[in-house]
Amino acid sequence: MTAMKGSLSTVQLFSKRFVFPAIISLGTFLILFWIYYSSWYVNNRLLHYLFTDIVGALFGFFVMFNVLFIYPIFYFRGASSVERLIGASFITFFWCIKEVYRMTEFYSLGESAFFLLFPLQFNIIILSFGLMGLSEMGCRFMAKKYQQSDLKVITPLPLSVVIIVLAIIVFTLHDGGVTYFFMYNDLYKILFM
Amino acid sequence: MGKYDSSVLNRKITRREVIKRTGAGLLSLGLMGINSTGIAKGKQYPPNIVFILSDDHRWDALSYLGHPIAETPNMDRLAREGVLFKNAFCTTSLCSPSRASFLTGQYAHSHGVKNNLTAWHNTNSTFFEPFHEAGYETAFIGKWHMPGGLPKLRGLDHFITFNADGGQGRYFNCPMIVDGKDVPSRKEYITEELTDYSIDFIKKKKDKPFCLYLAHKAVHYQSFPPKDMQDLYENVDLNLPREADNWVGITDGQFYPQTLRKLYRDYLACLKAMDQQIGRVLDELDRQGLADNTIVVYAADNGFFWGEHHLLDKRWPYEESIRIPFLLRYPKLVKKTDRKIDQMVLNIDLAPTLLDLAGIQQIPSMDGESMVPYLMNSDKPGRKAWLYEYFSDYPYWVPETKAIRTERYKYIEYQGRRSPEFFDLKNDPKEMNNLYLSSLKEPLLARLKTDLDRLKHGERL
Repeated sequence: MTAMKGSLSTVQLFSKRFVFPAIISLGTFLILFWIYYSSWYVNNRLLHYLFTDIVGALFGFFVMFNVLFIYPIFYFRGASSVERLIGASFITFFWCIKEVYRMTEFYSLGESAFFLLFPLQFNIIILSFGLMGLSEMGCRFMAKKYQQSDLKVITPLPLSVVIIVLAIIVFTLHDGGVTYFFMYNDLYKILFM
Repeated sequence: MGKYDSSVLNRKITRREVIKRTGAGLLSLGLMGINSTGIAKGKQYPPNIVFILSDDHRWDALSYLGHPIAETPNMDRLAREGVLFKNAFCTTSLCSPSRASFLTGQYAHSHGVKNNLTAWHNTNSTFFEPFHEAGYETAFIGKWHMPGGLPKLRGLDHFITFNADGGQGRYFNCPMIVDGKDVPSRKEYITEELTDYSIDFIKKKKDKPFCLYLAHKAVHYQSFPPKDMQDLYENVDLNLPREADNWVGITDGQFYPQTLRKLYRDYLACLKAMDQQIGRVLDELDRQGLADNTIVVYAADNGFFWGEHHLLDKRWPYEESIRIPFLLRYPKLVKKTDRKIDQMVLNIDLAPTLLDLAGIQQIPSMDGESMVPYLMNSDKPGRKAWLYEYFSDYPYWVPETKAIRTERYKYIEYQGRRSPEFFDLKNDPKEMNNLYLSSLKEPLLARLKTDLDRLKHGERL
């Protein structure tokens, strides 16, 4: 009985600390996705612009920066490090799946997967890791301030992730992304042509 | 209907004949004390060629055609003093293949530059060769941008280009390559830089006629206007199509990391700046007394979507993408000016047309046809149908495409799981209503499918 209680308690905790934030995260993504693409078919000119402009901006912002909002929910609901990492990767993961699937319409699976290294996609993926590192330190700071936690705010792992991600993003964008884009193209030719 | 001096058109000139005529002209002008640039004034001398190619300039972005924002007084001047082909198209709506088509008079499947990844072959023949053979001084100035690095073009005397940023060049301070030598930019803005080189070439004292190919980088993405024009259209109502979406450049693999409105404003300002530079070339021809005997052609490599079909960019086989501006002025020959010609003409028709106008033997491998009959007779029946082709260009999300475009209909076949499309352009010019599954059109569709197969196999319709 005690074991059962313990097991039930674990399940409830898991739903609270992982499933619930995951549903919030995916739900927001799907709602914004649906509104944005549906708004293409709104006939009223003003409403059309309103929807595409505002929801389009929100959708793009959410795809790129969702980790900043999702990670703290996982953190303060008690998700473990691995759970936080998995949970905060959901949107990026689904976005990548959507993009790779889209590419499979005309390209091989290998070429479609290689699309994840395309500057925009690659930066979305890389940025999500950088934001996880940043969010981890931000959450620790909040925990220390409001929950009297004795955690160290800045530790080598999240800090180094943030620095590495920043360096990669600066490299990929430094000349308007031109160098990285042509490196990507050259690599494509080597691999697939 | 225009009035034409048919003797100009009917002759075929050999290199020997050009030298003979030029020599005689020079001698007589020399005796008269007139400088050598005056030879083009003489009616019997071969025409000079100035072909100006822009990048991504959509066909209707001309004030001559009543565009609500675009300001193109110098291109309008070309149309007023010449003709505008209002049904001009590119056979592949993508920079590298289309540029190669202008140069060779061939489809992409013939010249081999199928997309931005497949290389140019130096075995390809361009129109520079026969012009050079006929005694012309030839110059390529501007954007090359074809895979495989810079080419070795036979028949070319001067090659001024750039290879920065993968051959796309830069709007500001673009390093140049002048006849194989790297040189820094002389002017800050690329369109002005290329125009300066072109004017230098025109001004150079010559004992020969010239053939100038001026390929601008403008108005291609990033469409940076010169600094004094950056806010030119800041508060203008862009009058975008109903289905336009400000973010569409970023979504669904269209790779333009700016909003559509910002891009369009820059594009229009960049276009105005290019038009001003075209005006400088026209003015220089006037100053040199060359305008009357110079064929000036202006065209773009492909069109562009500004939100139509929820698209930005080109490539797709819809009208906004495949139509191009095409203006031709040749005062000595085309007397009835300021008119719009209806017949369908293609980018592959440029080379045969220039050779025809100059009276030079055609290159047999060309797929295109001379437009001269339409210049001579506006009522002459034009081509009935032509082949549009697009080869996939990784990583762009556009399927390989084959389409037939007739005067009224368009039938499109896509690679992959996308269904074909069939449009009645007369009743549905914006191509919003796909009739592919309409049983009413089945007999017509069957005929178009057959005709498309014939075009794919190289037949002409």
